[in-house]
Amino acid sequence: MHPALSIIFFSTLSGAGFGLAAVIGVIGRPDGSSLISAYPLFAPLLIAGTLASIGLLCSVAHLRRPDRAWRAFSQWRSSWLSREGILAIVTLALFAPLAFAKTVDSNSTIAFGFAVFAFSALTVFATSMIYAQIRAVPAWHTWLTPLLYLSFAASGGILSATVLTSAFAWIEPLNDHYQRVRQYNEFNGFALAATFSILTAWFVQSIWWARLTKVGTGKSTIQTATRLEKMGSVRLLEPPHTGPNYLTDEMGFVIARRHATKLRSLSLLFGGLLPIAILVLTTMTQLPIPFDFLLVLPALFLHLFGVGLSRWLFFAEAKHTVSLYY
Amino acid sequence: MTSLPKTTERRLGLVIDLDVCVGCQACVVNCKAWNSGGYGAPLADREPWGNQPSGAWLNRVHGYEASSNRNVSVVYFPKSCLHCDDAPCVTVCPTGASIKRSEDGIVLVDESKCMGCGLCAWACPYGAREMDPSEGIMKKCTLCVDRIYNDNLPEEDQVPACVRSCPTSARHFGDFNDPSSDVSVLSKQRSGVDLMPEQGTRPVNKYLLPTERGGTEYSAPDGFNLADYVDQEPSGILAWIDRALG
Repeated sequence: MHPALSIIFFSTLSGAGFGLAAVIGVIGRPDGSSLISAYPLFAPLLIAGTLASIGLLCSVAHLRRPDRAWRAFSQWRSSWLSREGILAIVTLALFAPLAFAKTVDSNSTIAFGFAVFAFSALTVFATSMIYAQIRAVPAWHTWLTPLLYLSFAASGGILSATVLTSAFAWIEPLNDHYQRVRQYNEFNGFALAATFSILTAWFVQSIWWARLTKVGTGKSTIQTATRLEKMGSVRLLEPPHTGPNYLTDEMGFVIARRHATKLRSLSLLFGGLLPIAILVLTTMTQLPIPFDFLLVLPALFLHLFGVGLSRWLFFAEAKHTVSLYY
Repeated sequence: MTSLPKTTERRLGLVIDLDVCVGCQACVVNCKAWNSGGYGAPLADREPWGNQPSGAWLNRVHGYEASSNRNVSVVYFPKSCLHCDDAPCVTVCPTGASIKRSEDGIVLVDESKCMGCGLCAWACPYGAREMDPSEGIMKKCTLCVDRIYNDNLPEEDQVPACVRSCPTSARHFGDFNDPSSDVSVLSKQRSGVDLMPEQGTRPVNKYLLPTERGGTEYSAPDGFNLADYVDQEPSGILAWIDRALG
């Protein structure tokens, strides 16, 4: 499948944005103790919303007729792409009541927080189902695909939360010893959770890759595609067109497969090993403000770059059954 | 609405006879010609006279070689939309542009609604949909909906362009819900098959496979090695020529 940059940016950034929103929904309480628990929660939700919105806007760039994008909200009964669009808008709208909530532990704050968490997760799930529903691409057509998208949304979200906590400690230096300890604890907690979520995500990715190598075009072969199975082995003798066309450009993408192993290692290095190394280093050494922030921010960028690379492979390595006809 | 109808009143479609297709490409050309002037936006090309011409076509003919130890055959294989009963291209459409009509089962794109996301082309296992390079909307076989119901045309022309132009009658058009129609009878007699049945799309179009031609089973005799017969040292007059020229 052709890896379009617009779609790679879309799922990588909106995944991390909704992941961060989910973290704020569960943990953020507007008590002003950190940037995740800012008073009110407007600032962290704005960051999450911006990440998600940039992703969504990138997806619009993929359309050949973006002026008709509004129609995509109409077919929620059957289409996962339509559901994804609606869920994304609903989730972004749900940010508003949580962003302005002022009471810390009131039922409404907790309820809105939970709603933001649930709808963020649903949006990422719907994104993944756009691909997982497609039987013609057997590499995608598995429950592992939603799991993959959800686990990378979680790792991107928790790592973003780690960055925000360290940023807050820098912006708002606290003199009170008790509060400073609390800040350290929160940062360490997030860093630990980020490490585990990154490990989990790459574990899921490695299972997904192992399955991809085995599955190929699934049960479909050139024999089932042409139904000439009784006549022996079948090969294309005369192609139906002399140059490339939409089908071969879009579905017959083969460039990456030669370098797949190398690219997989690079994506794991940037998206997994380096961010984890930075997180461990930062927490072990208890670096003074603002060095923890200056280290974990690049860790987030490295992670997103690595995830983007693995998303590129998600398309480039997946084989469409139409390639059997060529 | 991009939900699929449970049943359709008629199931219009094609029977394609691989036994008689000679790969002349007439259906391909007539399809392109008709659909560049009929329903919807014309089927565009990019650099049609350039070094790398490309463009949207709704019907393409592949040529395959099928070989066993009995026979080697060349099979020409026309491929266009199969108008599946369980069409995955329809349900994935987010805008409502992709539809399967409940009256005759034709899968159509409403070109005024398509936003050119390309998801339907991904969902189709057969590669039956192509993006129009200049309009940015998805194009697909309409089963010549603007011919088959067109009373301004003579009756013999009220069939899809590909069927009308086929010189060997490799393509037949009709209603699969009518057990007495040509397509139903042909498909039953010759046991028409679905392409990629494992994809669960339940295509309406049926393919008739080439009839078995017999042929003698061939296997090389024991100890036969082709190389023994090609790389021999020349002898006699051939050796002299070899020396004289070498």
